[in-house]
This record gives sequence, C-alpha cells and structure tokens, in this order.
Amino acid sequence: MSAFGVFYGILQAAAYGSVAGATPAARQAFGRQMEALGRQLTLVLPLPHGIDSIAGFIQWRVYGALPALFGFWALMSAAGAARGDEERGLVERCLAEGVSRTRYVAVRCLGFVLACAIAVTLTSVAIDVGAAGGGSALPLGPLLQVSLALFAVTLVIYGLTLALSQMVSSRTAAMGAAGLAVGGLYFVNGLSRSVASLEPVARLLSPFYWYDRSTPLYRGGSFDVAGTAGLLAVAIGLSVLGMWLMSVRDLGAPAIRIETRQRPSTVRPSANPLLRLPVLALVYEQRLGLLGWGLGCSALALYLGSISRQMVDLFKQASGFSAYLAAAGRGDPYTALTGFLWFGIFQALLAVFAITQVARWSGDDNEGRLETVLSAPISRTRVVLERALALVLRTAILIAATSLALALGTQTAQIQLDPGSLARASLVLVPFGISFAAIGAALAGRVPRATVAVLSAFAFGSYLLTELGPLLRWPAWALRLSIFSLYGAPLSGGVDWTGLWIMSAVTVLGFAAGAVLMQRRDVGS
Amino acid sequence: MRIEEGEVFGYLGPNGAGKTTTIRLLMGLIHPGAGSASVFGLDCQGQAVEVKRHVGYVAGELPQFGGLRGSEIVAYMAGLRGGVDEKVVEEICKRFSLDLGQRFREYSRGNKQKLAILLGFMHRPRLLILDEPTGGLDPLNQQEFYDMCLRTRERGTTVFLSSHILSEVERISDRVGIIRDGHLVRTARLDQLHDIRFHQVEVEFASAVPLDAIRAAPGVHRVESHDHRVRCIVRGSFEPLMSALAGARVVNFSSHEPSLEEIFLTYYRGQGQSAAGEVESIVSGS
Repeated sequence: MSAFGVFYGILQAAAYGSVAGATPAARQAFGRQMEALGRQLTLVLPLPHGIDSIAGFIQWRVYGALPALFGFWALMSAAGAARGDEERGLVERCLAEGVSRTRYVAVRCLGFVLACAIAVTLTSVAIDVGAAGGGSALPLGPLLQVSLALFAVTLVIYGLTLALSQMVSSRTAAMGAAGLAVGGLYFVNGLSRSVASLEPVARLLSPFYWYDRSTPLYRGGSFDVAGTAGLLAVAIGLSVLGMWLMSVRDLGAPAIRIETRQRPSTVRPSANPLLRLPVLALVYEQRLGLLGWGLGCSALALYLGSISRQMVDLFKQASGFSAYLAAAGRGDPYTALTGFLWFGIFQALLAVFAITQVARWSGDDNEGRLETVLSAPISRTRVVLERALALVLRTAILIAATSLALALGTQTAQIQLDPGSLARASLVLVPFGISFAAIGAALAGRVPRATVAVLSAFAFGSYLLTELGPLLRWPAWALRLSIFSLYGAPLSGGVDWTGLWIMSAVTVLGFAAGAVLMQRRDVGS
Repeated sequence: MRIEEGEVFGYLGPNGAGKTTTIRLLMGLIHPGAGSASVFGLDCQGQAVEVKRHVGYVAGELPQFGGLRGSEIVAYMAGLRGGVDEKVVEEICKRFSLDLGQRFREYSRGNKQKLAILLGFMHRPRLLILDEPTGGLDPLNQQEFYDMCLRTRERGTTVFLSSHILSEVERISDRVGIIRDGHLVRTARLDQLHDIRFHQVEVEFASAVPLDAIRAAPGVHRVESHDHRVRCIVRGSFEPLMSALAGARVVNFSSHEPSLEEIFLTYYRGQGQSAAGEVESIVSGS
C-alpha cells in the first residue's frame, strides 16, 4: 500500500505540472475546468474548491480519492486478520499457546495502525516531493492535517470490517459483507453531495462525510478537529466491539447464529453437468467471484458511460487536455475520450483480475488441489491448457458484460459507439488480460509460491511505465515495453496490430513456458 | 523393491524417512535424481498418465477445496478421471456415514479424510497407493477402512499402504518394507518381522534385584540397574524374564511397546545401511 500510495502521490503531483500549465492564467482556467468537471464526479470525488493551485488540486484529486484506496486496503487487511487467519488455523494455534483473544485482536489492530501510519506518511511525503519537484511545495501543517484525517478514516474502515467479520464465518463472506457496508457508506456520502436530502443520513452514518469536512489544503479550507477526533473514537469503538465479539463467539462460527435450512444429506455425486466438463468446471467453481467482478466492473462502466458526454464537453474546452485528446486518438472526440477513460481504467482492472486468477493457480499448488487433480490420468500440459481456456472464458464473459454496460451507459448520454469498434476494442482486451496470466503461468510453473508477488510487481511496473513515461517524456520504445501500451486505442484509432501480435506472442510463449516448466518441476514438495 | 500384483504391501518408516517421497515418485509428481520406478510395466515418469489410469491415490496431506460441496468435488474428480461407478460412491459413503451434501470447509478432519479415501477408491483401481490413510479417522472408521482394504484385496487389487503405525500395517499387509533415512532397510513377510519387535520393561523390587538371572534370560537385552529398579528390553516371549523374576519381591512392573521411531533407533542403530535398496519395480506384470 505504501508503494501504491507513493506512486499515486508522485503521479498526481507530477501530472499537475503537465496538465495545468505554467502560468497563473492557465492554472486559473484549468481550475475552472476542473471545478466544472468535479461537479460531474461528485459520486466518487468531493466537490472541488479553488483548485487553481497544486495544493487545491492535491486536496481534491488525490486526498479525495485516497480514502477509497486506503479503505479497500483496510477492508482486505481486517477481513484477513479476523477470518483469513482463522481459516488457516493460525488463530487456533495462537490461542492454544495461551494468547487471549482480546490480546490477539489487539495486536493485529496495533499492527495495522502502525502500517497505516507508515503508508499515510510515505504517501504524503511522496506527494510533497512530487509537488516540490514541480516547483510548488505544499504547506506542511495542512499536509499533516489531511494525512491525519486519512489515517482516521482508514482506521474506521478497518474497525468496521473487523466488527462485521465477526458476524460471518468465512473470509470471503467477511469481505462481501464489509464491501457492501463500506461501499454503501461511500456512495451514500457521494450521493449526498448532490442530493441534499441524503446529507443527514451521510452525516449520521458515513465516515467519509466526516473525512470530507477536512479540507486544509484548499485556499481558505479548514481542518475539522472534532470530526477527525470523532473518526478516531469511532475506529477505537468499532475495534473494541470487534474484540468483544471475537471473545464471545466460537472459533469458525459467526457471533450471531442464524438457523439456516439444512441441505438434505446425500451420498451421490452432484448431477451438475458443468462439473463433469473440466474447463467449464473451473469456470463454475469461481462463478461467485466472476459475478462479483462482472457486477462491479459493469456498474463502473455504466456510470462512466453515462457521464461521458459531460466529461468530454468539459475536456474539449480545456486547452491543457490537448495531450490527453491526442493520446486518445484522432477520431470522434466523444468516442475517443470515452474509450480512453473507460478502457484505460478497465485495463488496470483486468490486470488485477488476471493476477487474482493466477493467485488461484498458486493456491492450487499450496493447498494440495493440484496434487489431487494430477492423481487423475491427465497430463500436466492439459492442466495448464485447461487453466488457460477457463481464464479466456472468464475474461471474455467479464469483458462482454462490461462492454454491454458501457454501451448502455453511453447510450443514456446520447453517445453512439460504433458496435464494430466496441466489439474490436473488447476483443483486443482478451489477449491483453490473458497475456498477464500467461506470464503468471510461466512463473507458476517455476516459482509457484512467489508468483503473485512477482506478477504484481511486473503489472505495477508496467502500469507505472505507461502513466509516468509520457509525463517524463520517455522515448517511445521504452513505453512499448509496457503491456498496457500495447493495447492502443482500438475504440477510436483502430487496432494496434503490432501490439496485438506482441500480446498474442506473449500469451503463447507464456503458456508454453508454463507447460514446459510445470512438466519439469516437482509437485507437492 | 518389488511388489507382486494382488498383495497388500505395508510401507513402514518413521516420520521423514521418505515414504511420501517414494509415493510421489510412483505418482509421477516428483522426479527422481537417479533410478526408475514402474507400475504394471509402465514407467512412472514417462507414462505417468497411463499409470494413473490404474491407480487410486490417497495423499498424505488433505487438499483444500474451500466452499465446494463433497458431491461437487466427487463429480469434478469423476469428470476428470472417468469410469466412476456411482454405486461404488454410494457404497463407500454409506460405509463411512459420509454426507456429500456438506461443504468441504464444514467437514471435520475425519470427514475430510473419508472424502480423500472415497476419491482414491471410487473408480475401483487395480492399484491403491495410500499415504497414511487413517489419519483423523476414529477407531470405528479405521476398522471400516481396514475391512474395505481387505475386501478390495479379495477382488485382486494391489495395495501399497504407507504408514508409521506398525499395528496398522500388521492388520492388513502380506509383506512389509521398512524405510529409514531414504533407504529401504528391510523387506519381509509379516511373520518374519517378529525379531524387530521388542518391549521396554521396567521392574521395581522391594528387596534384592536378581540381576544375574535377568541378564542371563534369553531375549532380554540392555539391562540397566539403578537402586532397586531394572530397565531392559525384551524380544519375543516374556517367559524367560518372568522365570528370572520368580521368587523376587516385585512391587511394580511396566512394559510398553515403543514407537516405530524407537524401534528403528534401537534395532538399526549401528547396523549401517547395507540393505539400502533401489526402487526398481513396484508392481510386476500387467
């Protein structure tokens, strides 16, 4: 998280210098454009004020978005601490050693508090360094104040997830329950920015509302001491509630038991035909995850599609965005910018999706499923091929769902995307996503336990190259080293055939290497 | 090491001796540094897929199937393998009282082990390779498992049973191989193994210790005396020791069968590894 925060901070601070212009007049014009744009984005970002300076821009664009990113991290950490460790038997082991439940949870909480403090500090330092690099250092006091607010809201999400995790019995369910709760609170606050009647609800329930009240980096902004102290108090309260619930419940069980209808006992194998067809069985097995990804990405595509016209109109007026428009292609600006915005985001999401699938392959090895599968009369090459085909199928389903949502969203904004272009742009995403997984397959064949970390670092580096390279004016050949750059802009500018061939070659070579390495290595030792 | 078709071969060894490594070599899961193994005349490395058509495997470590139900896991593995008779699945589930409607994560350790046994037996393989298969089973289900192995043998199935429990191997095996530190130190019929078994005995006397008589008793070894206590090991019958104790005032007598590890440490201490064997052919013929 620290690395991500540092990257994000440097990127945004550095980007300001490139897009806002160097003169006061240009920056004022940029600020007006951003404020107009910000009014379209109130669902995900706070309302901007006076962002004709880098401090204002950082307050709105960076510290407006960081609670969601840090909140996601807190959610994953708390669900892992509360339920993931329990599933792996670590909690049972610790309790057997004489550690009290309260102490166990308290230690995990304090560990996160420390990690969060480090991540927030490093992020803020990186933002300051990025801003200073652009010739506009940020005021230290307000920077500390907004960092403290970020720290507080992150701890609230951690405490909330910790408490909710006690109500369910698995890590997946904990992530789902907390995701719904945190997502709901986030969007209630987002909607309350434009729907006044929701403000009392947001004020009462949403920690993000109280976080938004601290705007020390804006000119004339202020730090809400009481609000931030309240967030810290709520974080402590929720953590204590989580500790108490943990101390009264049974291990492996929710704090409140609800009698569910017992599934009738059976001694027969499932009659589900999908389970008998190996590739489809792998898709079926991960149906809930795929559904979650599909719904989440589709909702985002629908939303971005529906506001695309307003955004494009704003961008068209902003001289500072000429570089962005140029990068998006030479076609219809509505189509070009819609494609640039959505497919830019979706590429990153697809890379994460591919990494989660590769993590599953590593898990197969670590958790003994691969050994069981290989006890059947099937070759290792077939295992690699089935994984690849299942991933192609899952990726295609995900892309199809989100592209459909994007088409619907843009239609509501009276933007007609050419169906052929949209289909081409969607199809090219398949080799893009699969190429990441292919690299993962090669790594899983050689170093299964380190695969996720190495692949994540590769994806992160690749993304960094694409985002920072143009700003730092790196040569074109260096940018082409990133898989993200190989996708091009097929919605508006046609298919980048060279990029497509390279991605296809990476896919074929990756899975071939994966098959060969899988053949050579030992399994289960 | 050579195992004949239709026999039950017990593969004994203490923890870390190399039992699981041998099994994973036979299953083609790991690659040998040297040497070879074959099953039914098929090379375990080059023809691993063919080998596994004939093999049912129960791994030593339980795989994790998370939220899948038992019925779904069986259907998935049956789809991968083919040739699974649902009546066999039902029969084994009823024998073990295993409910396939539950999710894997809800199973107890014993039920997870039952599911692993079901996956190994459900296609009626010609060869069963079982790596410590009774771990987590209660005594009643262990008995069911032994009965199932014996009935399977009656149908001509070969069983390769790895275990570190001597009594378990004694119950169902025809022959036994003993492995220690990666070397096969002995292969023998079960009735030839009596010489490695021994008991550790401790006797406490109220008066004088008949030390000379004890030391002279056949089958009594490593006699140690301290105050009014004697420790020794007894191989074979207890009768010579009991005769030596006749007339002495014994206030306490204890005897226990040592663990397999202790047996190995005692019996093979100083004997070197002259019997080290190469895994040459696990099941002959086809």
